[in-house]
Amino acid sequence: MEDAVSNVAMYVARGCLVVPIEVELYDDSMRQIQKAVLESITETGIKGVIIELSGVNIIDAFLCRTIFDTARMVSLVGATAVLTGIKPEVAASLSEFDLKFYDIQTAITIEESFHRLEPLVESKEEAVEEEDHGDDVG
Amino acid sequence: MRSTPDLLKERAEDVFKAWMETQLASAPLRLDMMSKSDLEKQSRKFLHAFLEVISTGNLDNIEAPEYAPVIELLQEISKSRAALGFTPSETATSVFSLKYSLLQFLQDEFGDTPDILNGEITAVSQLLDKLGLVTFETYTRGHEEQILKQKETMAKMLTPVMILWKDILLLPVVGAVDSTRTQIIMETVLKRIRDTESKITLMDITGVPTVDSGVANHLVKITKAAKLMGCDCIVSGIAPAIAQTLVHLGIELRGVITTATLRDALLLAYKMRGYEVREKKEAPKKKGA
Repeated sequence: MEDAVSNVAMYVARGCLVVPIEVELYDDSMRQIQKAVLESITETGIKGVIIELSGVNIIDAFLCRTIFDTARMVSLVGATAVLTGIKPEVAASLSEFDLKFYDIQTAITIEESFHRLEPLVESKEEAVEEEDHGDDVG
Repeated sequence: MRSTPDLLKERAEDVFKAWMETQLASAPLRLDMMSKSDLEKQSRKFLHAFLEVISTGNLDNIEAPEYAPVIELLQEISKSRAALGFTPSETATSVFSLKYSLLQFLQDEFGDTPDILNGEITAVSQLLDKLGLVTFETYTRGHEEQILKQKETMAKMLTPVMILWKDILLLPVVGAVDSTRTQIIMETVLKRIRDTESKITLMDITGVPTVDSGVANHLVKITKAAKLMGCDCIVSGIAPAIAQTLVHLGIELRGVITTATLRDALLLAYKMRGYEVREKKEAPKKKGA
């Protein structure tokens, strides 16, 4: 399981954790990604997560719910997730399901996602700096 | 004794005269829509083709290749008459009336041998019934094609998506909304969102005459799909009556921003994108003042 988690491709850019989802998803791989993202947040204290879905062509209601749930879990551990890159045909097919996602943030481009998360990321960095100062004094 | 095709061919001119008489006498024929000479020309052409084909001996299978010219001619007649405003019954009656004219000639020829007469009459009338139905089918098919074409045109016409401002799209929905149209609207608008990377879509439903639960669900689907792509939807043009209906029907529009007018929606969209709209302090100077 450890190995699987480390295999999940993620990277940090502009203070945000970017999680590109490239392949057709299986329930299991999504759960691994979920775990990896949450662990990474708790380890690094990152505040912004971008789940990038432009590589996904087919998705079912269950997987979609798993992705929404991941975003909800991310906010439970104190960060914010933004979904981006959902293709028109994927969006159209998902609208057929009775999914509720009022609490989920979405953005049309990855640029817009960074823009959305910027304030959170900045405030976090400041907080870290302040902490560092505190240590120095102590 | 001659065979039916030979007999009819021999007396073709008499058959034609008798048929014309029957056609002219039949009540539904509309000489106000079609001149007598045109009718004669058409009838003669058809009769000629008809006599040709029955001389092959095939009085049964109109799908056989030798019937192709007759069928084609019939379809042509049916189409041209439909264009002139004839009803399908009127066109079919023309063909059926040939049957009654022919029966007279068969009676004269085979009157002495009732067995043969019966067989010939049955064969000829069955054939002409089939041909009469071809005119009906052509008429209906023509209609269906036309309806399909109109539907497509309307669907295309009624779903314009415009760029209103940077990052803001306008989607005016006009007319009745059903599931087919929802799909077309959704496809169009989602593609536009992706191509323009717009962040807000204003969906104006002032032009939707009635909103019931079906229509509301269709519209909600569009807003949901747009939202999934990362584009917020503002629904404007919610008339008081529509607001009442929506609440009475218990339709939940959670997650959808709604406004009464397009103006409010636009102002809200500007605000969401960080634009500010204000009046110039100085009154605009009148020219020449």
